[in-house]
Amino acid sequence: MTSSVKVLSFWRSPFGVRVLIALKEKGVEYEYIEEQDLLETKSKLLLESNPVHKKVPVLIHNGKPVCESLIILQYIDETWPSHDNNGFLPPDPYERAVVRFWADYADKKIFEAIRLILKNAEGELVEQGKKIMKESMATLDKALKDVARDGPYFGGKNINLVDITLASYLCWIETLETLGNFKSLEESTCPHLCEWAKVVVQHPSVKEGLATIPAQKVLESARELRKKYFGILE
Amino acid sequence: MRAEVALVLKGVDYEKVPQDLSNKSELLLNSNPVYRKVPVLLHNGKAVCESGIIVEYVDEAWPSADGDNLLPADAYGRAMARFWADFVDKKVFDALLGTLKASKGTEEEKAAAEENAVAVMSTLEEALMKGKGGEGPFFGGARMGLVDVMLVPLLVWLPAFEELAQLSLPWANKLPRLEAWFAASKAHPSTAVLPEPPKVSEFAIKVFLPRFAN
Repeated sequence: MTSSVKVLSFWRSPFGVRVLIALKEKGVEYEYIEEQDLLETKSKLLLESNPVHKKVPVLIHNGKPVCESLIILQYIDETWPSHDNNGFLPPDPYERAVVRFWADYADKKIFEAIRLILKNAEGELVEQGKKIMKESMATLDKALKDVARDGPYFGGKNINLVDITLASYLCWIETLETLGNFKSLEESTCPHLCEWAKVVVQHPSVKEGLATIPAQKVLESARELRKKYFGILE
Repeated sequence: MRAEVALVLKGVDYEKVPQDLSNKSELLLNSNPVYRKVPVLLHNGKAVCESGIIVEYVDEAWPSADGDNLLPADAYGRAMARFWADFVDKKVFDALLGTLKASKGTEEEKAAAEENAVAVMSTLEEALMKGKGGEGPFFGGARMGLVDVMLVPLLVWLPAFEELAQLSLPWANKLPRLEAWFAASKAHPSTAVLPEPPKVSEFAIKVFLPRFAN
């Protein structure tokens, strides 16, 4: 019996692109539905499938919605299990806790930085955002260095929850650095993470997923958002 | 509180190491260098941080003999449990803290904060009616599950918020299942480890209210 998998998302969302990467990694076919106007009118489908938060992405599997990107990723991992312990989460409970911790950390920090830098032209809030980016990239660099792995990814030879979560932010990290005119993911402070970034973007599922959220398009869109909603002219 | 209740539910013996958050110990700084916060679970010397992550770890490290764990076995059930656990973690306490903050503000701010708190609690009430909660009294059904453990601090915090923010929730009218949840959770042996509400009120007065002072 073929199952029906739909992804309701918005092209620019790092939370959405990670769902696409995850489904591609599992070889699951899906129908992509773009939420047309994220910030203005929300579609009927979105309001029905995510009445609590009214946010994308939403995974709709055989008619049943799953919301919140990290929850979706774990659902995908459990519903379409990989062989030989090559899932998004390792089998050991402690290692799972570590993976969850870093995915959660990436989301807490990078999303906050996006919020601060995107919504402000300059000043204290932007500087705060830059500081968060620099510190979190350095912290993640150390985390990558410290984790025992048998390959280039956080997950070793295969991408795991942290790889997918972080990779989904790469275009946004580039955008933030351009908007704020600063560097956070750089060789001098994050040698391991930079090496990781070069390799992860070549991973087939990641490459396909990230092709839907090209950096230049994100930057242009970010500039439009700043102009339209926050009155910031570059 | 969540970590302790999870351990008690699993019948795991533990040692509680109280922390002075105004003077953080080396143990805390070494085991949670990223956030420097409690709770931290140390299991055979290895540190697990962030309460939601700790509860899932406890569930996985000590699977229940009868197969009835804090999270259900099916992927969709797990996604639902995680969703509501996340809602509790991100929305519920914030909304209630908002009423405390607004208690120092204008009448308009107070009304808005209370409306928000009622809306959030009503959403929880609806969640209780669906899924396993439909069987009640817990979100996990007849037994406590992930969502129940994540919500458990409310047992001691809500009286503090009600008192300090003069928050009045429409229990009988709109939140009957939540009211039943409170009664069942308070009576549950695992929650005997929670601090007494007056102690929590004292903490709220000492730590939170000054933060909200103008």
